[in-house]
Amino acid sequence: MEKPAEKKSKRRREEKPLNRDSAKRYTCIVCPACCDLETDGVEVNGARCPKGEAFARQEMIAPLRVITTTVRCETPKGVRMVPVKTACQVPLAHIPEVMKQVKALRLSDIPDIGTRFTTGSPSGSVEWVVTGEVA
Amino acid sequence: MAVAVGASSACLKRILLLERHPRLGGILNQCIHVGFGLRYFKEELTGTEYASRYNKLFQQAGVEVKTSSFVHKISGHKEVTFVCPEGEFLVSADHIVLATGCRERTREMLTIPGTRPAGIFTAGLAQEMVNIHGLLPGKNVVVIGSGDIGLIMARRMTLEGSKVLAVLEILDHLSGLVRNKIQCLDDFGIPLYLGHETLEIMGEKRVEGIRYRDNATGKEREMACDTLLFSVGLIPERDLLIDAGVEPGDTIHVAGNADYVHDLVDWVTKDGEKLGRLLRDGGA
Repeated sequence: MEKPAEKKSKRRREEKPLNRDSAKRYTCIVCPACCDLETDGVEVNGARCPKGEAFARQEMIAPLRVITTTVRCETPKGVRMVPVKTACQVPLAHIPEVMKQVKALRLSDIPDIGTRFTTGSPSGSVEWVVTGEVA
Repeated sequence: MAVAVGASSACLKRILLLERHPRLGGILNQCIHVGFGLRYFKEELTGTEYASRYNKLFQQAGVEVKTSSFVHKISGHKEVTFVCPEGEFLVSADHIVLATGCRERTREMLTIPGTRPAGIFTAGLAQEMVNIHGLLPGKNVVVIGSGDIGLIMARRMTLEGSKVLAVLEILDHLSGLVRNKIQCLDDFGIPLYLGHETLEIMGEKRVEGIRYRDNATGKEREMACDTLLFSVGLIPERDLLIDAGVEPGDTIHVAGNADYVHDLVDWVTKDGEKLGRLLRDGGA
């Protein structure tokens, strides 16, 4: 009979066989634990949680990131910067284009925290969420 | 920061929270990036979202708050003097908690030789300029020091259209979190030079460049830039204690980043709540 504690630590350390030709190393950025990951796109070693495994597989195909920035809001009281983030992760490669679109935006009223809006062209739009309360 | 006092709120006695800014939240209000709350709220939030979320919890506690109130003196006799728009006041309390956060180390504290031109900022000041006021500190930026705020600002300035030329770190290892190096520098191709010491700041009216040395090889180089951001450490803000000549003890307490520098705001919150509970239970 195996003790549960042993079983758990064994599972964590167990190295899955990877396809060495395509294996890549990443450092997980899902949380501050910063796990060292290695993946061949199918199996993932080193992750302490399922989110880390998903991160490694996605990183191999196309890295995704949440973008945070501010939108200029011209109110009668003066200019306010409204903090926003993308509602979903966007491909890292699209960041310059997405930034260009959101920087061109001008608001006239300060939106409430949690308000959603979209920017973008017909080829691809991005949804944003207001993340702060602006006085 | 509201956190420490917010925690002690569940108790019976009166609590007064004094904040020098017009709104609560402290530095979180300028932290628009994600990475907050994973531990406390079990969800990845921006700093501003974290502040707003925690403020809701804090409101339920029904603590008396005075914003735009600047405490300029505390005394060993448990008295606090503060100024606010209504005037100057003195309150006495059984317990005084300092949750005053940190100040950033500046260029002057590093004693880097050279001129004193415009274009030199701490990373946190640049963060306030960009995120709160919508101003861009400069176009060609070098970040000195690899603290978390510097890494975050390297990305932020890049997104806003500045060119971040490099991050120079005098130590042979990163000061900030590894995840911040990956998502702030590597993602945008910003080079990190470890073991590189800044020797001189050049420029008459505006920063024109720096001279730096690779400490491994001893080779000196120059880099042209118009802006320098310093991210070289945080110092707990305890001037009130020093002025009063008192040490933290039974009646005067220090919480959060004024106590020691925390990596995560989640731990600041938890520490603050712990102190609050301690004061409630043991301080009667």
